[in-house]
Amino acid sequence: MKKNGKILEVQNLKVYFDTEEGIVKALEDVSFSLKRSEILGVIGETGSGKSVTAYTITRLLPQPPGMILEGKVLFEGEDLLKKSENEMLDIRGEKISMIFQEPMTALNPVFTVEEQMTDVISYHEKISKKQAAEKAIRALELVKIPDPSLVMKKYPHELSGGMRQRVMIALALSCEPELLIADEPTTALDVTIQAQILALILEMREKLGLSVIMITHNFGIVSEICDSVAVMYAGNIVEFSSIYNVFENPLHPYTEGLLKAIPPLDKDVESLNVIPGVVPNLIHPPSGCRFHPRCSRKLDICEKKPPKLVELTDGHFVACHNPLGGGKR
Amino acid sequence: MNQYNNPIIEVKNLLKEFDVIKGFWAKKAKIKAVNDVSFTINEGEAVGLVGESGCGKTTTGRILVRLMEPTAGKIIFAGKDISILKGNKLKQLRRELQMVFQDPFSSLNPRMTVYDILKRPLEIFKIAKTSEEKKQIALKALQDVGLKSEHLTRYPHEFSGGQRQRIAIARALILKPRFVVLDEPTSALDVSVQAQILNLLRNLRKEYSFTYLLISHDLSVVRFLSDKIMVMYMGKLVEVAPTSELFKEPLHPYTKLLMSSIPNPNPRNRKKLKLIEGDIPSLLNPPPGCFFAPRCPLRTPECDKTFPKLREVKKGHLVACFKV
Ligand SMILES: Nc1ncnc2c1ncn2[C@@H]1O[C@H](COP(=O)(O)OP(=O)(O)OP(=O)(O)O)[C@@H](O)[C@H]1O
Ligand SMILES: Nc1ncnc2c1ncn2[C@@H]1O[C@H](COP(=O)(O)OP(=O)(O)OP(=O)(O)O)[C@@H](O)[C@H]1O
Ligand SMILES: [Mg+2]
Ligand SMILES: [Mg+2]
Repeated sequence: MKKNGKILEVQNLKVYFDTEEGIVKALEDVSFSLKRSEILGVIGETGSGKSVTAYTITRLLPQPPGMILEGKVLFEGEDLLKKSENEMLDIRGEKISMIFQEPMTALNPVFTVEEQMTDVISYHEKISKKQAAEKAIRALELVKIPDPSLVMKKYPHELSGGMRQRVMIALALSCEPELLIADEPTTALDVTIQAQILALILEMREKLGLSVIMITHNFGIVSEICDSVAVMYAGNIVEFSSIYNVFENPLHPYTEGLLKAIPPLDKDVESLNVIPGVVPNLIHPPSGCRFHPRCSRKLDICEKKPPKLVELTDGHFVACHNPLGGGKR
Repeated sequence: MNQYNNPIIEVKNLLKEFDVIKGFWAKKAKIKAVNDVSFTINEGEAVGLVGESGCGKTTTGRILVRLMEPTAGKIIFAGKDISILKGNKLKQLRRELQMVFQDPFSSLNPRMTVYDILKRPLEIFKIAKTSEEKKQIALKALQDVGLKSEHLTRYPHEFSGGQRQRIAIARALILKPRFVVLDEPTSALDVSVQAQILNLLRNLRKEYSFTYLLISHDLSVVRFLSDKIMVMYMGKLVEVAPTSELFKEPLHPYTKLLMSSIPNPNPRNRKKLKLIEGDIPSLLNPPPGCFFAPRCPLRTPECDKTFPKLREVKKGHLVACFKV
């Protein structure tokens, strides 16, 4: 194990896209870290940069149009952004796995579950097809798929959405990775099935000591399974801390506003908190703090200078010139 | 406890079958998307319809406003049987029955300006005499949903998802309908935008005094916007109850599962998430008895024989389960 127990440290990532409409400033100074066996939630609204962050870490970002301009992705102390394509192939097969929002796009429709799983397994381990098939069945059992040997013979479209996502997770876990990056793995699923997938992720952390980055726009999911949270807004991490700090003592006005905008499940309310306006366009993002046009705590400086993500209290990071909780900087 | 008692919609034994292609040999089969469903909605009432993907919510909604014909069963609107209306009579119904669709990106015609979109219903029903009058009505509707007069000349693609949903709501309400089906009006939107639309709908209900059926798979949205909730599972209603009661005391095992599966944004109150085997059965091969039996913790042999009828167990609280 590496010193300070951190498996991943993302430092000052800056990622732009060169498009016909102009330069999309998708990630600006994104930093956060993840301890071993920790589940980190990355939460934010559409277009805030969650997927781009995941694709940058795993080096699956399409380049062009993507450009990684600055930053480091330290995985077990080594910078993934400096690795060759071949080294990355090995890392993605053995140490870091990713699951995607829509399992249909990640599973190949013309191959059976068995063909795809044994393919992946025998690519990384020099074992026979038969051994790989046995391993695949064990992976399917791990994710509690009923009749795994039957499911092995099926094509992706013959499975329900929940089963497909389980297969995806089994596939992602079959190489026993250390880090799992799950990009909205349950958005297309029903809540009762979603609860199953969340239970599965918790169980895998328990059994395999997996570290997880859980990308979502759902505060409920974060609160159910995550140990820490990074809140993203328009390409920035605006707040990063333990789950309790963020939920019970949010320092950024955006985090607080979002938490209050969720209709409560356990009580009746007359009206919901509203964050006025809409998310900005990232080709021409607002000057200074990208949240300032929608912020109720805006100061003059907010239009001029982008706030840095700093540790305001112990382990509680915020990027705001006028944070909540009285803590002016 | 319920101040509404004048039925505006009565649905009796509604059935909707679809032809589907089944299996490798592409055999034709039928599924029952809505299966023997009966309920009443009173004037002024806000009713939520919840259930998981594919359980028949949208189909029910489309049939209620007669965008679709039922295979069997009756829909009584304001005392009149509208189940099999056709042609001009059906067209006239649009004035009183409206629907807002889930997807604000595909439900608006991209080649029409906002003004054209809002003006059309006024023209079809010859609501306004002069074009000045038309403009005034359109403008009022637009302002009521929080948009401005300068938006009238713009096209749908120039708006964000939340704004498009506002336009769709304005279009549905411009004729002052008596009954509206809101089909997942916010599920395509982000939380901060969703809150804006939910508040808007709540205010519009007071202002326009219409009755609605709100379809959603999100129980927190339904809680915020309804007086009464109906829970659907595989084409069947399994529970109907006043909102506060359903949250306090859900009775059907499926409703309980649903409630206990919703992630709660309070980290001090975590669920004990447990991994179980199993899957939702397919509508192509529904179980012989209660459709929920294969996943049900209370299952008995009786449950595998017949589907339990929806019966009133407390005033206004109906459940379809032998074990309750
Ligand atoms: N291939 C691409 N070309 C151009 N712009 C891109 C590309 N991929 C992403 N972007 C832009 O980068 C920004 C961040 O996108 P990203 O997909 O990371 O958002 P997200 O937080 O994952 O949103 P969602 O919740 O919708 O998945 C957006 O403005 C998006 O339009
Ligand atoms: N036009 C159609 N032809 C064939 N089958 C259909 C048609 N419309 C709906 N279905 C099927 O009927 C069932 C109910 O669909 P419906 O759209 O009413 O579900 P829903 O509860 O609204 O789901 P969702 O939450 O995903 O919107 C599904 O199995 C669906 O595939
Ligand atoms: Mg994404
Ligand atoms: Mg639907």
